[in-house]
Amino acid sequence: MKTNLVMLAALAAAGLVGCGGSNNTPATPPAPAIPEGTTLTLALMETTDIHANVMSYNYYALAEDTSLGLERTSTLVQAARAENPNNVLLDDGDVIQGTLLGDLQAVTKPVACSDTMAVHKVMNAMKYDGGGFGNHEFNYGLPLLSQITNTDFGVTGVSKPAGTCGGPTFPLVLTNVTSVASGKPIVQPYTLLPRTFAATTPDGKALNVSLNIGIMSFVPPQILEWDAKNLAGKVAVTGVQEAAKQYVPEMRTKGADLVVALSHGGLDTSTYSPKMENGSYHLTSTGIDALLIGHSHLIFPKGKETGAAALDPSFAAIPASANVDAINGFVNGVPTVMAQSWGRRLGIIKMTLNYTGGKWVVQPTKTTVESRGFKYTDGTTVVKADAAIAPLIATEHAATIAYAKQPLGVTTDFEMSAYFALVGDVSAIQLVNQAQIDYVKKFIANSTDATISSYKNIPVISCSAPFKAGRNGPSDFTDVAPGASAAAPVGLQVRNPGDLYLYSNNNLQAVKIKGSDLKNWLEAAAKQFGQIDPTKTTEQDLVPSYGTIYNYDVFYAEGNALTYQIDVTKPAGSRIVNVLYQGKPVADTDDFIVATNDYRAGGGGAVPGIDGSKTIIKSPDANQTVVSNYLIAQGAASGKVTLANNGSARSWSFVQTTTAGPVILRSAPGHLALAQSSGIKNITAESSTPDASGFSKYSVDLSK
Amino acid sequence: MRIKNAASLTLAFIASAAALIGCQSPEAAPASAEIESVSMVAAQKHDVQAERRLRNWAAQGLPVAQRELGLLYESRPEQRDEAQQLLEHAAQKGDTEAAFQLAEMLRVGAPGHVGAPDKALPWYQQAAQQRHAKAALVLGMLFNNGEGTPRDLAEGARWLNVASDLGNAHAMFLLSNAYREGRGVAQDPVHARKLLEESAEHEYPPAQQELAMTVENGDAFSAKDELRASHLLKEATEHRHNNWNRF
Repeated sequence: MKTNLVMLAALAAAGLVGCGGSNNTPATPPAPAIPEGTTLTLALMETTDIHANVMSYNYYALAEDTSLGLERTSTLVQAARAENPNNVLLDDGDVIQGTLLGDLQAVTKPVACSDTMAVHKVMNAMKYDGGGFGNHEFNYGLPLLSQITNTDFGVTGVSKPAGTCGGPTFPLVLTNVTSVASGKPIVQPYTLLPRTFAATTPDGKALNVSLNIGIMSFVPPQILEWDAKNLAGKVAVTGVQEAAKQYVPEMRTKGADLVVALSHGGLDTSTYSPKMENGSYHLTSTGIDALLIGHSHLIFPKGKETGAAALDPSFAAIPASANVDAINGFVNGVPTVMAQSWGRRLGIIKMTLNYTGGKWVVQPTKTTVESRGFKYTDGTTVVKADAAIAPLIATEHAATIAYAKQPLGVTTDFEMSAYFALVGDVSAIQLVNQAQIDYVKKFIANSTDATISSYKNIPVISCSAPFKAGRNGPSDFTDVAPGASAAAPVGLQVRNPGDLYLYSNNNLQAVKIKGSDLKNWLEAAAKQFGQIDPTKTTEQDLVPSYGTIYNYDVFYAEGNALTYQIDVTKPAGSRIVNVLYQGKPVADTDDFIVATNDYRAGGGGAVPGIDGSKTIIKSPDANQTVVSNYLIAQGAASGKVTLANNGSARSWSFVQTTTAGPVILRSAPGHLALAQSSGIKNITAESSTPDASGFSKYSVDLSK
Repeated sequence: MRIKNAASLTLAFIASAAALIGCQSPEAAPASAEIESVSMVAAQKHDVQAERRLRNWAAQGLPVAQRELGLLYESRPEQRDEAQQLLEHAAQKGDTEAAFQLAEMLRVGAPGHVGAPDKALPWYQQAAQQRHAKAALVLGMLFNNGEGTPRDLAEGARWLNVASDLGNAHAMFLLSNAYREGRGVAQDPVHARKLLEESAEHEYPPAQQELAMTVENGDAFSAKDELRASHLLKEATEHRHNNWNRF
């Protein structure tokens, strides 16, 4: 009860400070004389990299995920508060972006000024004392950020809606970002949190004392590269050390008893540069008392629970001379914590201060640091969700699930499936390739970069793979819009493009290659097939394993202008023949631009020569978004995608071979009729009983 | 030719201006971090005073200032030649980043300047020998692909190994592929997996995806772990926003 009252008073004071900015000296209650040697124990609690994980829920899988989410972090906070009556709860940034909930509230249907983002609603209810920023806060642009933090940044062209907008009710700080126009910090660079805490005098009596906790916050200078389009020319970023050195003395002068750095960066112990991304290590020399870090989603110090994960190798590799104690949580003697990400952990720095020479002095030997996870009690039991959280954002949670299922405004007259993608069906792949080609052609046509626009006469082709094709068993196949026919088309939902393009992590990239590279690439893809011996009379698997089926790239050019054949009787590496572009054989010296994803362009699948060095376009757009947008555009133009235009351009085929014995393709049971109606002529029969894993064996006739 | 003369004239002018200013306010040579801070101000705010300070320091022959001014000029096509000259000066004085940036400039080229990987190679070598991770990575790729030098997979793998030891996540991933397939090194699936884990830990997007795919199914090195796979992909998805142009 007493704790609650103190917390209420503290929040009220924090609110005042938040509005008044950093220039106000906090209203400190008249301080009682504090006897020398009085001790005070308090806990600094940290969350970091919440990334809009409010519920313990996965919106892509539409399923519960009890390993993450603020609704469970809240339970950790309650327990830590019960253990430490003197406490403050702080957040280290990357709050608003990272789940479909975040995208919905920021992009698809941005929250109104009068409303508050779901994650902030919950943080307000959890009674945070203060927060910093992370790089991802800038992903949605400054106007929205200004609104949802109810802060006027003083940046040209960015105006906060009039009046008070919904946002955090706790103060936010940001120390190393200034407005180019005004030269001033876009957010107050620091604030002091005045708190009344229970201390103990040397003779053992209880004494309430006031303590000013100063907080500051730092983001990586790289925000100017990652969010250049939102930030270039508008804001400037200072190195973390320079910014800290500028403000720490001022905070002390204004009465900060403790200075806490919320640093959204990891621990890079190499020589300091103001341009470094993970500069937190270099804050330890600036006079701060505690360091709350993030950005790298790691656990620091090593977890204390039974069965805790081993110390992250990047910490283990830090040289001893750097003076980083990753077991006890000290960096150059400064207590330091990183609470992983997604609300999975709560950082707790429990420190004891001793009143010496008229000021509070941190006692390092009586300071403990913990990065506490959901299983902290016994190493196995996951903490329960705080039941008070879910009702706060029930509407937003339901809206996000509804968004995932929302129609795209386009219908299809064919079933887009991957059941027979390995024998030539492109019904689930051609659309992805068309969307990628469309994107890259427009990108080149609209580019203001002289090098990129000089590529406008090079043919743009595309590749994509049957990502969801049996890797996780017979139920794991793309099958969008089953039952669709020309007579009765089926509407597509936001989630269906997810199935057409399984991986939400991929960004579209394009590489510029030669004809010789293209042939090597096709050979690499064709490794997915087993080598078929035509003389063998026993059964042979056409595709022995689906383990790396995402490497089976299928190439396509507009109008099906690129065609090729695969001879599965040959050994891997010499199977590709008859590669034709516009009817002519492709020469080794021909140029092509291939639209693909960042995985392949950056060396994924080990395609010879495709290692990142040939990438010409690195798009900030996700392949999934590119496909969705293409579908929406098709919907707007004609209302539908069709088998004739978007699903039947088979760019590749097998070199015809007669085999003495059966050749089989394992796929999901019950789709022989689909193969026949789609004109997949080389599928001739289905086994009457599934194999041990539940796959049907479909007979493949390689002579057709 | 004309441009070159103009550039050297400008440099001569800067030198004399710097000498004057030097008389007015003698100051100790600034630390690298200070020069870089000023350079950040010049680039981010288009601040002419900051750019002038950089020019003065560059004219005094401070390699960090020459490099930073070179990078600033490189963003302006009309100052490309000056940029190249400044980076060369800095690199010749041993500035590692300048050597790397000069190599990139030469390898990639620009409209009117054909990319010249062979001319870039010695600068990459200088930077890599001075422990520049990304320079070692690019060297590895040049040797693997036979660009600017005859193809040499063993030499390619050797440089990827240097880059990987210096913490470059992209190199770790390519080297992991090399060990898995035995390209330029003896096949070693254990080491390949270790490098894959390390690269994913350092957020190289293809490594995060490949490791997710691997643990989703399980293999000889780790049991099937769908939760870890989903978390790796979640991580990769979230980082998509800053990784799009990071590697």
